[in-house]
Amino acid sequence: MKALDVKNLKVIFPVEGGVVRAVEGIDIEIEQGQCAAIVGESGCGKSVTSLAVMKLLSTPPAVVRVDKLELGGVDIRDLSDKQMQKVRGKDVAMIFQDALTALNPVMSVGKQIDEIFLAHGKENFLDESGSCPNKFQRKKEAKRRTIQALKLVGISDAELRYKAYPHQLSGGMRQRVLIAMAFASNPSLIIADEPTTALDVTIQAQVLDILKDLQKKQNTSLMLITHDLSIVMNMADEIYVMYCGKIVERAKTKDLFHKPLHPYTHGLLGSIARIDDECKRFVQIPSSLPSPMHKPSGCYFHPRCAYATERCQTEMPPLETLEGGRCVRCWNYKEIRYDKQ
Amino acid sequence: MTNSERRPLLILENVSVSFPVKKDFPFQKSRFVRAVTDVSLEIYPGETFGVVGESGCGKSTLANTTLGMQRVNSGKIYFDGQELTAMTPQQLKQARRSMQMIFQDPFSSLNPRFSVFDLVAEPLRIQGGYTYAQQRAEVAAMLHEVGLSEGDLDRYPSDFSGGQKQRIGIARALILKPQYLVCDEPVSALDVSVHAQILNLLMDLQEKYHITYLFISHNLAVVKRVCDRVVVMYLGKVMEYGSVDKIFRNPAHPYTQALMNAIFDTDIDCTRERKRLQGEVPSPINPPPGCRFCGRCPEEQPGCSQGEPPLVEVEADHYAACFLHAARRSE
Repeated sequence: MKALDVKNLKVIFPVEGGVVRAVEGIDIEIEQGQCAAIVGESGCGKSVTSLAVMKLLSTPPAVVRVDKLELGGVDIRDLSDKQMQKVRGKDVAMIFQDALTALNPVMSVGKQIDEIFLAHGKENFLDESGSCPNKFQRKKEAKRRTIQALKLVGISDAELRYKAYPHQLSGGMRQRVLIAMAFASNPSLIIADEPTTALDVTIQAQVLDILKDLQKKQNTSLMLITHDLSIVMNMADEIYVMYCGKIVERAKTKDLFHKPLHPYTHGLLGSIARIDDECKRFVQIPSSLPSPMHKPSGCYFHPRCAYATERCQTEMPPLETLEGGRCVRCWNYKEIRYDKQ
Repeated sequence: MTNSERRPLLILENVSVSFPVKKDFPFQKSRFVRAVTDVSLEIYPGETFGVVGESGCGKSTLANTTLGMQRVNSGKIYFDGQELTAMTPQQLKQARRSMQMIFQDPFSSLNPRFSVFDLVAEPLRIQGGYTYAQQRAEVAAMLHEVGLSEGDLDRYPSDFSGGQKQRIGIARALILKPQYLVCDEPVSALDVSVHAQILNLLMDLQEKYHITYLFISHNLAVVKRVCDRVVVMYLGKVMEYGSVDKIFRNPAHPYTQALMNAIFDTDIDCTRERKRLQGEVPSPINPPPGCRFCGRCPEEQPGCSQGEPPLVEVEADHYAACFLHAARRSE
């Protein structure tokens, strides 16, 4: 069963003097229990994709068009805001990048996690006989579950931390609270938007370990959004590389790292600083992402591509599907031979 | 030329910096955050000197003291033969002509109401002696140097992407042709794909102008490629210090080993077991007694919490502060 099935998602923002096509028709499929990563530079539309899947984009101003948007087999395209409230947190949860802004500063972290249990109504708390405990019993039960959730993400003294406010916790701890929150009601899909960019390397490793551990234990699907291919390697089963609102390559993690097909993926892989490299220079992708209002003609990547041909300047290549479900959007992927890095 | 033949550009002798903590109630005993404790270093002209450590380990405070932006509580700093710690504010202003800094976050270190010309020309105005036309010419030449164009002179920071903003920051730092440049995590706020561009630019500029870099980072993979010598800090103390090649080939301190383990390598076939560092950095107000790394150290021994380990020589140009090596040397 697919935890997430998105077909032809488009997001457009009208701006002064034109439109920004943030996402231009992308397909994403995540099997239950799998982890898919969306990788790209800032401004390529990866966060907008995640917000559109959660239906968190306010329309207007955004215009969202999608042919198919299914969460665990249930169509959520036409759900109202109120109905979506019931889905969010229960079936799909989100981990945000900056834990300090995602948490409420005037509410203890324990209470914030309690809310997730309480917000999803009485049916959460039914006992064996089918009778519903009263309000106070529900609150007590929510607290018990919260402390359990905090313990699960490796927070020591969970009873004590229950009463702590976000500013009293360190960055790694706050991110763990967000992870506990996301896993609280055992959703089938979790979207993690750059969960570790604000953290130190050592803490980043700890947090990712916890995230992966919980994902495997609870058989949750994970959509990981990041600009750093190096953290993806140990986490993801499948990788989508996004550029200017389009998917340029989709592949199993192993295949992508072994043999990148698209020049952009190759550039991204090369720009990671590796510890075992002897060469002093860094491989770089020249210039930067084009403005989303004035995207180049033809293949969006051609002005930065070392292998661009005349055809690339005029025609947008289609997303070609190869054997094993691998996809690539490039005219010349068969001809390009990359030097061994 | 070996280090012993060269004269160091910057010498730190037993530098300590601490900040008072606000008291919770009157008459409470004064408490201090010991940001930097007893650090001695030498930085040679033309090299890139790396400072590595987790947040809160005193990297930035150390960099600020070398620029004279932070008073030291004890110890001495010599820059180019002059004692920085004994200078008057007037002399400091003179000395700062040859020392500059690039900040971590280009989004907040550039004033949004200044045009690129105003931003980059500000150091020229502060030091004085340039006419408007000279300033225009100098700035335009510098922008060209960092990969921007003359047409960008009158645009504002909001018109630029993160990588371009960092280039403006670099232009501003280099406009006075400094000898010494502090790079405080110059790429950590940027996209991975832009890292390479900025780091290559910094290395090119170093070659051209023979600048000495103090390079602060928590990414060891970057440090290995950019730096010549490196110091690993933890809770304000030096854990390991020496040439990059030697430290990376043979990390002596358990903390350095742990930091190296935390790097995500991109070798998909690599199946080595990772040792994760447990816990987080303790508060620098009450650092653990004895070795500061006690409590998180995977190779902790009973004696570690008694007395601080001295910095001992592991091999030539490679020092570590760990009892494991102190014991080995005395044998």
